[in-house]
Amino acid sequence: MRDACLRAISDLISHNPQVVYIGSDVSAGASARCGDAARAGRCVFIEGIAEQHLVSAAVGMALTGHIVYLNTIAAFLTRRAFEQIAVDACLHQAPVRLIGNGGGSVYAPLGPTHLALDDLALLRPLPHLTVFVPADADEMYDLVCRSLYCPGPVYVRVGGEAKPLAALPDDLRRRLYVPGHPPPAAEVVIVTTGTCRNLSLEAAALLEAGGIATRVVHVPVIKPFPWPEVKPALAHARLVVTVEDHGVEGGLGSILADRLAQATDLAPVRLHMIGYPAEVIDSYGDPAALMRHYGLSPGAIARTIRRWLNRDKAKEGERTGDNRG
Amino acid sequence: MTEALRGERIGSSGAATRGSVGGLGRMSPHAQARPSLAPDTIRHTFAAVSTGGLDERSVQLRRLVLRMCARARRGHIGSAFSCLEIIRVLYDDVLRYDVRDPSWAGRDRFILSKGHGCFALYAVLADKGFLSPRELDFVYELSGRLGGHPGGQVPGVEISTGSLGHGLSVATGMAHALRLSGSDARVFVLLGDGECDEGSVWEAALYAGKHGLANLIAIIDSNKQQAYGSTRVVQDLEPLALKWHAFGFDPYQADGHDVSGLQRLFASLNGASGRPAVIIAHTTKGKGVPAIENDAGWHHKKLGPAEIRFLTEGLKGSIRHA
Repeated sequence: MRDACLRAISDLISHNPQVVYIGSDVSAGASARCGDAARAGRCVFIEGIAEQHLVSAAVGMALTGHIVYLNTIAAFLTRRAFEQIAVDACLHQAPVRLIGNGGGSVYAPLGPTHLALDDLALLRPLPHLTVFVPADADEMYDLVCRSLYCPGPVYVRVGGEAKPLAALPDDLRRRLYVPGHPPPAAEVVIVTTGTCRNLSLEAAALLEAGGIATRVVHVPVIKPFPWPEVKPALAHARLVVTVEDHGVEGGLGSILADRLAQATDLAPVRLHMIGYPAEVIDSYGDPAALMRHYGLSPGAIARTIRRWLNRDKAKEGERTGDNRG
Repeated sequence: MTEALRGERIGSSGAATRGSVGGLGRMSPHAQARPSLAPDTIRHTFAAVSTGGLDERSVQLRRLVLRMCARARRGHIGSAFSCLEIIRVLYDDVLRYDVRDPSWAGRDRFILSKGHGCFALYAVLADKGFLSPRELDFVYELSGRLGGHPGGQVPGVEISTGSLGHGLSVATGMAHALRLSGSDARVFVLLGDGECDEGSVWEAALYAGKHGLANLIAIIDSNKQQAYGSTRVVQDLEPLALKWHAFGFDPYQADGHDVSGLQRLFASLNGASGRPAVIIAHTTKGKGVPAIENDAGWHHKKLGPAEIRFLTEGLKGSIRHA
């Protein structure tokens, strides 16, 4: 996904003289992927480890005729430079594209200082900010190209690798909800973003094999949140489950909770969230192991959903039984 | 070379020598052997900072500041008064701009990174015609544009500032972009000395030094005070000129209230060295009202009618009679 991102930026540079790329603490190959030596110092800049300064400098360039792609590690970009994102980029609606490497569990081997499990939560309230969370390399390429035209700042979360939609078998793909289509008649609707899309589709297949109709809504652009497109997908759901490679505090789950709690024209629906708890995660496993440990695997997602369904049904049964009218 | 580093260098007039900055500044400052700084560049030699009074223009601009303070009933009065001559000279004699077209692409940029000094900037902007002076009577109104820190939506203001530590970084981005486009416009950024405590200032300095941003001029309003007391006690910055020099800047020392001295110094800066410049302007917090000068207690204060009267009276006493 990182390669697709850099390839898109390189293509944008080829077609638009306003575009510049600033890499901070990126790998040696990053500048090479963005272009040749002729671009170095003209529109491709490899800078040091100075996230706060570079966000503000990117804004300065963006206010002076450029469209700036600033690329560094997601955790440091969003935490260390949060104020600069807020009062330099967002306040001035500057056309900077903040590319965060390692959104979610990608840097699990490097531990808690490098995990970006709260980046989406941190950025959620910022005005004028667009947030892209692509699921695979194809979606990444497309969204980065589209980011050229976004007014104001954009955050692009570069998550772990996942197979493109086109490479998934039909049997998995068909459970993906297409915006604008009629509401699915599924009991369970999983709402997900980014690299959890494929996991969610596999979990849906497992649930359906056990007789539980399940559909998946993938939301690659979570800010501004496309509630008018997502809401119809939930019209017949009994249970909505959010799945994200992110904490449950303030991420996709919280967005759904806010919307559902305030929706006046939806039948009441249960919401459950799958993601990381708000705890210090100080282990150093590989991303897949970390995700499995916190329930972010197809089997675990399916088991968790079955358990919730059974528990919700049992509680409902008690209520009905107690209702002596 | 020593002469080139002294604070009082008198060079050719600015306009004639600025030349094409686009072709300059590509040499890394570290690639050339640099002479060490002269002693009076390392530490300023001004025995006393402008014990003389202010001229009528400087006093008049301070009256505009007091007009805003009276309406706002509060203000960073000490901070506005210490940077007024710097901003005045920039807008009177140095910056290239078009009042009728504040976002003209060829303009020089000025960023007030020390955002809490904004009443000084607004006084000058009103004086120049970016704002109607009447607008100064609408500070701190929900329906108005003017408040305690500069707003990017105000004509003549490049960006909103106030947090401290942002302006130099934004300025380096602007300067870099201007050079990439071949523009000869320059970027001036005014920082506070307390502001230089912020790490991002030095990140920006590293970047400006690395890229040899010769079209960037930083000015430090060195009034030796922070909100809590003297900088020497809270966080001493000396030797400040040496620090900037080490980061790849050409440092200059100046009397921050000496209008003709500032005019001469700015006129001499032509970017020929290929390095960004920093002027350490020695100023007095609260300059113009002797009773409040150098008093950290006047950093930010509620100002009722009695305080405004007190300040207005104090200002009268500071006019220099030629």
